[in-house]
Amino acid sequence: MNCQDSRSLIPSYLDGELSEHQAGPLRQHLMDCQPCRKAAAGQKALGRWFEHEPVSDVEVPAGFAQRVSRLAFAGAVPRSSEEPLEVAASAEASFQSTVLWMTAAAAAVLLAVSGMLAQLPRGDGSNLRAGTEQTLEETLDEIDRLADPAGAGSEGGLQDMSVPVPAEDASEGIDEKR
Amino acid sequence: MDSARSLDSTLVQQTLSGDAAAFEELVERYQGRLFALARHYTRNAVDIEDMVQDTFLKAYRRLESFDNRSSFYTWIYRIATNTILDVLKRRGRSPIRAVEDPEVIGEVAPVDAPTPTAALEAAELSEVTRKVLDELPDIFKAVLVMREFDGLAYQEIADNLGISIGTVESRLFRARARFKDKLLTLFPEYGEH
Repeated sequence: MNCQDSRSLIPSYLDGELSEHQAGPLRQHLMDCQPCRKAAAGQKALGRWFEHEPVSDVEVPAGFAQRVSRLAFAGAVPRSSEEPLEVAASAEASFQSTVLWMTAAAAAVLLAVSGMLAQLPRGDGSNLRAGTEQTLEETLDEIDRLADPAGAGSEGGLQDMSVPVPAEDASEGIDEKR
Repeated sequence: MDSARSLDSTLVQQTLSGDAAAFEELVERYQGRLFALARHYTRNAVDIEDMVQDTFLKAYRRLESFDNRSSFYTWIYRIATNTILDVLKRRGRSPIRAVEDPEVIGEVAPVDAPTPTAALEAAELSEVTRKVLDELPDIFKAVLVMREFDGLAYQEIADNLGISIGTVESRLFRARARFKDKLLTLFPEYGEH
C-alpha cells in the first residue's frame, strides 16, 4: 500500500467502516509510515470536537405530544410535505371535480323543474294578480305616470333617472317576464 | 425484539387502530431526541418545533409502512432528517449541487486538525463545535451530525440521504475538511499548538 491509498482509507478506517481485508494492509502501512500515522492521528483528533453534544437550549413545549397527536388524528397535513406538488395537484383536482359535480347537479335540477313547469296547464292570465289586486293595465298606467315627469300624480320617483324607460319598452319587459 | 422495540411496535399498532393516546405516547418517547436533532441544524426555536411536528405528522400518515425491520427511532430519524433538510432547502440554504460540484468548491486540501485543549470545558467545546457547524452547508452538516454525534454507519447515512456509500465517504471527507478549515478561521487560537 502506498501513501495515497493509505490517506484515502484512513477516514473509513477510523470510522470502523473497513473490512479486515482492507484494514490489515493499512495498519501495516501506518506502522511503517510516520507521515501517514500523523495524518491518522490528526483525523482522530477531529473526533474530539464532537465528543460532547451541544447543550440544547430549546425545550420541548409543554403539551407538545398531545397537540401533535390531536393534529394527526384530525388529519392535519405536514406543512413541509414531501409531496407538495402531488398534494396540491390532488387538492386542486378534488376541488375542480366538486365544482363540476355541483354544476352538473344544478343543471339537472333546472332541467327537471323546467320540464315540470312545461307540463303545467297554461292559464289565460286572468288569474294572475299582484298582491295589490292591480290589473296589468293599471300597473302599466302607473309605470307610464312615473316615467313621464309631466304626468299627473308623478312625485318625481323616476324623473331623476338619466334614461327614462319608455312605456312600450317597459310593457315589453313585463310581457317577457311573463 | 427488546422491550423498547416491543413497546414501540405495540404503540404503532394501537395508533393504527385509532388510539390517539398511543400516538401521543410515541411522540413523547422520541420528541426530545428529535428536538435535539433539529437543534443541530437551526437555532430558531419555532423552526425546530415546526420541523419536529411535521416529522411526527408525516410519520403518522405513513405509519402503516413501518414494518418493524428497523427500530421506530431509526425509521422516524430518516423522516426527520429529510424533513429538516427539505425545509432548509426550500428556504434556499445549502444548494446541494453547488457544494457537491468539484468545479465550484475546488479540491479540498488536507488540513491538520486542531485538537481541543484538555482545559477546554465540555460546554465551551460543544459551543465552539456548534458555531463551526453553523457555518457549514447543511448537506455537510448532515453527514457530520449523523456520523459524529449519532454514530450512524455509512450505510445508514446513505439510506437516510438516498445516496451511495461512495458519496457518503467523499461527502464526509469534504465535510471534515471544511470543518477543520472553518474551525481554524473562526478560532485560530486552536491551531497554534
